[in-house]
Amino acid sequence: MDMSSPYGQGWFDWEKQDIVPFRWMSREADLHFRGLGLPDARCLYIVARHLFADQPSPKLEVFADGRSLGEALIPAQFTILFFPFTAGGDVSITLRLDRVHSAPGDGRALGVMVQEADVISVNTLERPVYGAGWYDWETDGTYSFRWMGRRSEVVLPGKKAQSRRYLTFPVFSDFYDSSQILTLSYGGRPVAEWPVIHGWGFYSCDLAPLQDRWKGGFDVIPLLELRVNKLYPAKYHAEDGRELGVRIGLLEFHDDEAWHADSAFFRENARKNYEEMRAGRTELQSFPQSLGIDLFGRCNISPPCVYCLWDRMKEMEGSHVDTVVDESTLESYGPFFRSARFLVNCSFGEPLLHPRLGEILKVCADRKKVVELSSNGQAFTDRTIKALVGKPVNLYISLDAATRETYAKIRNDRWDDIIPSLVKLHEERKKAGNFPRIFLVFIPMRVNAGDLEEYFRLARRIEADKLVLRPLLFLGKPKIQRDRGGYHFDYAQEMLSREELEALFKNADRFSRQYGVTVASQFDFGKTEHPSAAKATAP
Amino acid sequence: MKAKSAAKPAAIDGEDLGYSGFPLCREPWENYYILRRGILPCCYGNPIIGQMPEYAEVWNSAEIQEIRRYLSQGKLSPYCLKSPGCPIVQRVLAQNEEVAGSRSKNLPRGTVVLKAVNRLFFRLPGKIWRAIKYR
Repeated sequence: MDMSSPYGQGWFDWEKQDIVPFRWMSREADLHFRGLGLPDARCLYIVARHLFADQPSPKLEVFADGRSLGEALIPAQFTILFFPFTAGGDVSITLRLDRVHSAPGDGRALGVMVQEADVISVNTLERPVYGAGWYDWETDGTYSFRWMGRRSEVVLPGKKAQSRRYLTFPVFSDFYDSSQILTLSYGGRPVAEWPVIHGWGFYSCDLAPLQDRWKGGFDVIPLLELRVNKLYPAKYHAEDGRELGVRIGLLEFHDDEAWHADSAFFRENARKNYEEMRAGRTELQSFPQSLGIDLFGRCNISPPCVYCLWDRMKEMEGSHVDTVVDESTLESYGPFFRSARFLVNCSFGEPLLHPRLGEILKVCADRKKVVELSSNGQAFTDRTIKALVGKPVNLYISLDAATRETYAKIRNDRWDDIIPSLVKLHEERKKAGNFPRIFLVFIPMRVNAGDLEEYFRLARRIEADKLVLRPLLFLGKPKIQRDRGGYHFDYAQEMLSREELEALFKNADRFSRQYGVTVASQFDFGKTEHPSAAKATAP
Repeated sequence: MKAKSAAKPAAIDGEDLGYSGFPLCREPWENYYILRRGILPCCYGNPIIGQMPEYAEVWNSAEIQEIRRYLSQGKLSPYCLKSPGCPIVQRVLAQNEEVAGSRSKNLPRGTVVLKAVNRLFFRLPGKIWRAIKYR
């Protein structure tokens, strides 16, 4: 007898489905676990599925040394099922099904298919173990996440759950009106009930009520159960037959009381802001969900880019031209900072030159805010790359040109320095979850109209997350004329007509498919994407 | 026996997701810009509606409330009309022009004369009239 194998009576031999090994269990089967050590919080997990055609799921009852650990319905896809218990030493588990079936030509009485069955000690877990109710990991370009259905469960690593007070994770709801409610139970106790805001938002849950019980012994299993009151309606993801609730990102533990309070403020504010907007309120109790900031007022391109309104803007800045804006300034904005999920830098200046860029981005990352920076791409150094890599930053890089010649007509002769540093940034971010996101910006003008296809090639080469088409600001009939790189730039003449732009958009569509580069058009500013256009899945 | 008619396809208007009843533009509710050059209610905003240190008071100032009032009624505010670079303003004005163009085919003679006068003066009378109307 193999002492390391827990499988006892009631199991058929190992088989394979595709390349995945499994074994059938009959109506009743045993598992024996030897030498588990001192009594401790443990969890039996079974990875199982059924093959009963057109019948409801079979029911599995589980007993440990004759004591019931509970029951569960076995789904039609392989799913991890948890049965928590407290025990040590030797433990015998009995699994009992309510029915069996026989496949044509196979005389065996078959219960369910089991890939794996084991006992884990929750105190030694390093990572959460996801149980029933989850789909595979995906990414939507913002976060990695798993869809959950109506109900899901996950066992948290015991030691971390004991030593850290809070659990935080991002949640995405497709409901605009916060009518989707996410309820959390932990160790059998309700610990949170959150109206979920539209889009991604971070939530923080206080685990203290369970930690008090931990002190008393081993009777509690850190099993987190999540439920949503309603599903994302199937009609909005008709091409995806799954039952979808909300998207849940990575689970993290923390002890930051201020962040915990901030997350509750943020959530409540977002809900109130939506309600005030829909009610047409003009005097608001809520605060904005996105804050425009002005990080740095100096630039490394002089004379400025040909279309930049530099002189006019510096005149407007007046006495504030040298005002310092750093992480303490942002925190001093109080509720305007706490309520924001996006911080959008709108400075007339190169933000990467800010001497405290690293500190600013760290504070924003710690507060779970996404920072949007527009850069001319000429300030990538070891310092700025280190500050950017791994941070939740949307980095818009304005090149507007795909050749040295066109670039010289718009900015200067530093084209040859830019591409290697862009490649370096990309190499570094690949090691850090693909953050920052890179958006290559292209402002269609007469001067660069011939560069579009080459710009798509460049975007593909550095694996840009998106190619952004941004309109040249309409200024009526501006008298802005500059000579640069052997080209006479006349702002008024550079604006493309509606017909020219439509032709360019068609080409962009074609290149997007040809080069596999996603396009985001800021010409569509203000158009809220209709829910029917949303993509539910990208498995 | 007549077959039962197919079930009516579910409406995908977004109503059940709370996707309805939005103002013409959501910026002055959801976004706010605290910049060295001043406070702006939207990213295409022009001119500024306050100085950088006044951000807390300006958030509910009379000027921004007027912008919100117009937008929640589905109209561009006078402030919006000073920001021709905004793609929303451009879209709404283009739609208005299209509507006006389709009406002009059946215009009475007097209106035709007015349009001719407008063109004669480089469309300046039309601009002044629209500015007064939207105010």
